[in-house]
Amino acid sequence: MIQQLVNGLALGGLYVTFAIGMALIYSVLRVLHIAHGAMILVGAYCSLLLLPFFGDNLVITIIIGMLVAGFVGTLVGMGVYVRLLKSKSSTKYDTILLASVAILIASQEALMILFGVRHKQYPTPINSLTINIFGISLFVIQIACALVSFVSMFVLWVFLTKTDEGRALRALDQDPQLASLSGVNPLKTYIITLFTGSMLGGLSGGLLSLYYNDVHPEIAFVPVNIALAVIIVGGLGSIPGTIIAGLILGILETTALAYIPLTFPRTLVSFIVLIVILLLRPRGIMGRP
Amino acid sequence: MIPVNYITSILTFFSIFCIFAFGQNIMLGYAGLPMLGYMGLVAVGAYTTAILSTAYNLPFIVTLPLSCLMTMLIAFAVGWLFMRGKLAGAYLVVGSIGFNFIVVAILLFAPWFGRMFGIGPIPAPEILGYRFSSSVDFSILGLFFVAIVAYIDRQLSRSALGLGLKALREDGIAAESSGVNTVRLKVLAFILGSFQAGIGGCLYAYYIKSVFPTYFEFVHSVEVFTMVILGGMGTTLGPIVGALVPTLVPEALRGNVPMEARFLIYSIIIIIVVLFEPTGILGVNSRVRRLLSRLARLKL
Repeated sequence: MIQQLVNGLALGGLYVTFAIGMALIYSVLRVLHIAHGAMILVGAYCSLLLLPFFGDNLVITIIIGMLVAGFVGTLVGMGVYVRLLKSKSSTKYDTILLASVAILIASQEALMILFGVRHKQYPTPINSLTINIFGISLFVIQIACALVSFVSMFVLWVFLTKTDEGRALRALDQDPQLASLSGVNPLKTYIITLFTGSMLGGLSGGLLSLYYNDVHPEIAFVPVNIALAVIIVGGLGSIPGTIIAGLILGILETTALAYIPLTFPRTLVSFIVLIVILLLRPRGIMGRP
Repeated sequence: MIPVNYITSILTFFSIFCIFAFGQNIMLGYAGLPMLGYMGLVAVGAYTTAILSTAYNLPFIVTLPLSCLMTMLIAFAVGWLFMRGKLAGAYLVVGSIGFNFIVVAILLFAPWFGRMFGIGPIPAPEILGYRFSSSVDFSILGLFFVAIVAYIDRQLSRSALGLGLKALREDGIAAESSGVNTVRLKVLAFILGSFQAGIGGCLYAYYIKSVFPTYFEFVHSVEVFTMVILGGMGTTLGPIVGALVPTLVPEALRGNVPMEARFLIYSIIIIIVVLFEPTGILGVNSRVRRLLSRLARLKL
């Protein structure tokens, strides 16, 4: 039972790290950032392929993956979303959604052509290492994932509440017009948001590929779907809601996979919860009315 | 020499997807409801046809209206549940993705729908004693229904109902304060847009002869969504142009570029079109449409 809880917390932590990036970007740009999945791919491929150049030091390659993902995400956001947001058309959000999906598919296919369709694995798999704590054997990677994601959530909280840039971001989320009147530069805040959010996406990509010991162009598909469910269940734009929803969905998914003797796609649990929440509380757990 | 069967099979797929795009156009283009799970509704129509024609041996004349009816019933239920919670924008997008996933999961796990083995073989449709069995027959049948659906779309866009839907899309609050019952109108848009899913799903089932859950996955809903946005939301010609893109682009690339690069090129085309024509190729304010209207004024 405790084993399942730890599994769930580790997986939920990864979902949260990924989904928070999406939620941040939604709260400032009002864009459903499906191309955030590309950041998982960037993070995963960087942390695996750069390993030989940095003496097999995973920490360095994951950090590089985060930074590269940050740059890629900022480029995509500023080049595509901000450009399309300027349009006056009432249907621009649907257009942006389509562009976002197309970017995710394009990056998947580009990686497939560049690095092949074979599933790549880390030279020294660390996802099978276990340690014993109070008689329960736990996977090191799970503890690492849970720790890193909680630390990154804490850092994000400090950033959002204690720095000027973070406050500007929240101001732009609450009232864009008033924020720009009080001297918040929207473009600068967009860049900061996109960079922070995409860095979290890259981090979760690196960790996720370690967690499953699998690097493949299609690893982003399931997390994107689950993250969509997470941010809606949590309430769009609400960071605490996203954290709670991510952890709950992670725990529910691992318990369901462990105790229900049927083979079903892992996204199904999240989508059932999603539909139930949408019917009971259409604005999500902590969404604004 | 290009074989006739090749052209007619492309034409059939084009016409079926065109019918889907017209349905999506009513929801997304006219009413501005971003329904990203259209294949969930198509699955209802296709499976209704499959079950009625294999287990009960019912003819085409009966299965077509019944699958339309069934799809509209499900769309009414889903639309009512979604609109009761006043889902809009991103909530509706993700909610409809969830709907699509759950429909596919029900088809996969419920015992009545043949699970992953699907339902088939579906007999060829018969109208007045004529069997539509070849792809030539199907392409004619498909284009006939495209014409009907396009006519309905044209009439709708000129009617008071169509104008009400567009008002809803442009400014929901303004529409509501000028006496439009927005919830009822949105549910109505859901039902009107699902009628095409019923027709298209029925034709699709007859044409591919067996239905499998994988045909109705979320990825294909994205395809239908793409057609409407690329072609031009809220216009009658838009869905037709939009449905031409995914049927013609892969065929044009076939043999010229390696297999693996096709999706890459296709998605890059989408990004470029969207960046330069945010309202779609034939959108309300697109360069192509302005050029066409200028040419029309010249009376060439």
